[in-house]
Parts: sequence; structure tokens; C-alpha cells
Amino acid sequence: MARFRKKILLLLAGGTWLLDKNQRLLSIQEAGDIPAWLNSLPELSIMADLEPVFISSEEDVLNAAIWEKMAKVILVKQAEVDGFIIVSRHEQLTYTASALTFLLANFSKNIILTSSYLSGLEWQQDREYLVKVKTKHSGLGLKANLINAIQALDYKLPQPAIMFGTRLLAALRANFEPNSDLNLFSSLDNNYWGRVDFGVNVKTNLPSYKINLPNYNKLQAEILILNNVSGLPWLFSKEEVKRYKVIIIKGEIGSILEPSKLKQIKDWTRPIVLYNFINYHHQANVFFINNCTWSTALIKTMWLAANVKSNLEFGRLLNKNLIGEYLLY
Amino acid sequence: MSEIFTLQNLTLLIASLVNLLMSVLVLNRGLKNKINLYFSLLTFLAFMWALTQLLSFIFINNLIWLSFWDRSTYLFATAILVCLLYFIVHFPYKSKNLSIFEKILVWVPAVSFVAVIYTGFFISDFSILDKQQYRSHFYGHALILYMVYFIAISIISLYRLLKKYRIADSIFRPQIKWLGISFTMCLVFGFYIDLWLSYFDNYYFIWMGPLPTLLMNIVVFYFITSAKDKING
Repeated sequence: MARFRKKILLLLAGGTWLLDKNQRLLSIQEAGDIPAWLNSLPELSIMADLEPVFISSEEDVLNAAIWEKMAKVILVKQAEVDGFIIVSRHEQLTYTASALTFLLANFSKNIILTSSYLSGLEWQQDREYLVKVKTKHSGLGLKANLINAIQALDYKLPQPAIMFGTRLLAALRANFEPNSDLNLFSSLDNNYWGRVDFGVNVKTNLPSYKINLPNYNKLQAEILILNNVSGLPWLFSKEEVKRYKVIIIKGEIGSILEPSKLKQIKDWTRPIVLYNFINYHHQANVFFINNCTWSTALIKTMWLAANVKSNLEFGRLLNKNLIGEYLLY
Repeated sequence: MSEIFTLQNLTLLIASLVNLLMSVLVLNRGLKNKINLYFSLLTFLAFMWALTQLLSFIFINNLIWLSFWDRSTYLFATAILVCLLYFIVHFPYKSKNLSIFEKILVWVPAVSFVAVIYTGFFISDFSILDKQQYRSHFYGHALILYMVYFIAISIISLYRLLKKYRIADSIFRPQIKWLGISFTMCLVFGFYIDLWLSYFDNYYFIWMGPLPTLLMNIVVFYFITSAKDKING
């Protein structure tokens, strides 16, 4: 009698660096690299049936189009597989995870994202970094992360999650901590869905959210992102801003915009989202959000800007805690 | 019944209770993860092994009960060996299943031993040495056969663990290392104290056999409790 084996769709979008048994570096730059890469991870095929799909290489920086493509692939394949694992560049993992959470709201199957300690191609400028990572983690960590991700798929997860190091955390609560030793991701509220201590230990009865919205499957790529530094002026014109469909301004927690900048944004007609600012300014197209991660704020802005036409509806949905993206105090 | 509150009895009692507590603790984490299932079973069997040894000393003056409890220690020791191997197959992730040859090597002798453990074809007689010690007289080469089986299963188990250690990365490496050390100590110490010395008619230390299981439990307890992240969802 054949035993039931999980069928998993493995999407590969960077962050795929690993060391094979001869200590050679392997990664996936094109679909043809996948068989050799999978052969260096024989443990995975013992645990589950994997169907790999090439999405992007280590060189590619993930963007709205790639995230939409991932969501589309997941939707097409959902009936054929039991769960999904996405390997993606670690510096963009929180954005990828947040994007999939919003694009696939109400999705019923488990999606787990993970990565290697090495990501992209930039690290090649500093080969000592590779030696440091190898020594600290006895490898590049991807094998352990993938194994734990496959094991975590046995549990019911309400939304996409990130598995990295010893932590399993909600995608919408994840912050990237590049200077950390073992765990490159921390949770905004210090609560985790699971951890790897003696095997994978996942909390049961995790809260889930169902949203009653039409199928919002787009992300707005034409977004202006401003990292505001108090005292430094914005030296661009109203016409340059008009090229973008939505603007998001990131500030320090609890900061306020200077009067000169408030005057500038008065002339902007696009929706403007102020992240981390104190809500004191009233303008019909200006919206304030706090109590969430930056990646969540950015992706939610992009998601609503692509799918919602009126500023009123944009603001209403932006401020609503649709799928647990905001911390409630 | 013999004197109850002796050093050897208290040691066996502590060892059995620690294993029982760990079994319950790990069982409480849920059986969805096979690691929890097999480790909980392993520590439960270790609890039974220590408990039956304790009872054999307590009932040392009653030949019927002594015979029953002493034979039962070998039953549970055999079960521990088998369970340990299956635990290692699943820890920290599932590796290749046992081959047909390995399954035959594991199960055929185990079932054979279990079939004869309560008969004269395993232990034929008992002698009381003093108030606290007794000697088991093994039938023919039964003890040697049991020792060979013990060594074979131990080697298969530790070899599998070593293979996993060689290719492990990140968090798996230290976990496999420390569990490997504790399992090795349990197996070597248990073999030497309970089997090797018995072969040379030295039964004075068999009560120490379950002691290294404390190390194994300390290691696992450390894994579980040292993680600082709260999992509250």
C-alpha cells in the first residue's frame, strides 16, 4: 500500500545558494540549473514530492510583476499540490511574503517562504563574507530551512509564513534583521507561529482572517517611495511626482512632517500614505498608517492603489485591519 | 521484599521518573511531529526499563516476581533499541527508511528474543547473591546472542546519525552532535554495565545502566527550553 506523500510546489526566485557535498557553491540562475541543485538535496525528495518552478535568478530583483506571476502560478497549481514553498532573496523576503499574503488573501493552502544565508550576487564582492557564513552556520543554511519548511507544512497555517533559522513567523509581522546571527527575521510583536527546538513546534489554532473583497490580484508598480529625513528638503517638482500613481513616505516612528513638506504635498493629487508619522494633518488624499511592518505598509499601499479607484475607498481599506496586518493594542 | 530505600533503588527510581516526565512533556507537544512520537515512546520505554529493574531488586526474595521483572528488563531494553533506531530515522528530519535487510536484522532477532524472554530458553535460573544483588543464569549462548544484537543495532543507529551529522548544516548540526554524544554514552554504558560485566559474572552494577538516560533527557530538555521565542501566534 503506497503511503501518502506530500506534493509541494517549490518556487525558486533567488536565495538558492547552497553548498553541495563537495563544498561547491550551487545556485539557480536558470531552469536548467534545477536538477543539479535538487540532486544536492536528496533529503527533500525523501520527505516529499517536489515540483520545482523557476521564477527568477539570483541576479533579478523581485518586483510587482514577479510577485503577481508567483501568485498566478500558485492559483493555477493549487488543486494539484498540498502546499507551497518559495525560495527567494532574503533581503526581499518580507516584501515577497507580504505581496503573496495580500494577492492570495483567503487562500486555503499553506505557503512558506525561506532563503539561504547567501542571497543575490552582491556578496561576491566580499568573499570573506562567504567564509564567515560557512563557518558560523556549517553551511549556508538553506537545506535546514527547506527541511523545516517541509515539516511546517504539516500544520495548518492561516497565511503565508516565513521559515528561517529557528523561527516560523507570520509574513505580515516579519522584519528583516541582516545583522542577526542565526535568525535573519524577527516578529514585530515578538510572537512567533512556531520554532525549531526539538523538531518543528507550531502553535495550533492560529487566528485567521477572511476578507470580503473582490479578487484583488494586482500590485501598483508606479509608486514613489520617499524615505523622509527631517531637515533635508525634497528637491523634486510637482510634475515629477505626477508620474507615479501613489506615494508612500516613510518617517521615523512618531515623527511629523515639516511645514515646508506639508505645503509641498498639498499640491499632490495622488494618494499619499504616511508611514510612522503622527496623524495630525488633514488632507483628503493623505492617509496615515502605523503599527505594522514597513514591508506590509508598502505592499498594502501598492495592492490597494492597483485595485481601488476612489481615494475614499483607498483610505477606508488602508485603515481597516483586513487580514491582521496591524498590531492592535 | 528487600530493603527499599537503598542507593541503587533510589537511583533507579529517579532515572525512571525523569524518563516518565520527559515522555509526558514531549507527548504534550503533539504527535503530528514523528520526532515527538518516537522520543516520547523511547523515554517511556526507558522508564519501564528502569522501573522493571527497580522492581526486580525490590522483589529479590520472591523468585516468581524476580524472574518476571528481570526478564521484563530485557523486553524493554530490546524495545528501546528498536525505538531508538526509528527515532534516529526521523530526527531531525526523515531520512531513508530502513532497507529490507535492516528491517530483517532489527525485527527478526527482536521478535525472537521477545518470544523466548519469559521462557527457560533465555534465562534459565536465578541465584541470590546477597540482600541486594542477584545473578541471572542465561541459557546456552543467549547472552552472547543478545550482546551481538545490541551491538549490531547500536552500530546501525549511530552510523545513520553520523551520516546525517556529516551533511547537516545550520541548527541541525549541534542538535545531532549533542544527541549523538548522549545516545553513544547510553549505549556504551548500558552495554558495559548490564551486558559485558554480566558476561563476566559481575552483577553488582547493573542498577547503574539507566543512569546515562539522564544525560539524554537533559540534552532534549535543553533544546526545548533554551529557545527564547514565544510561540503565541
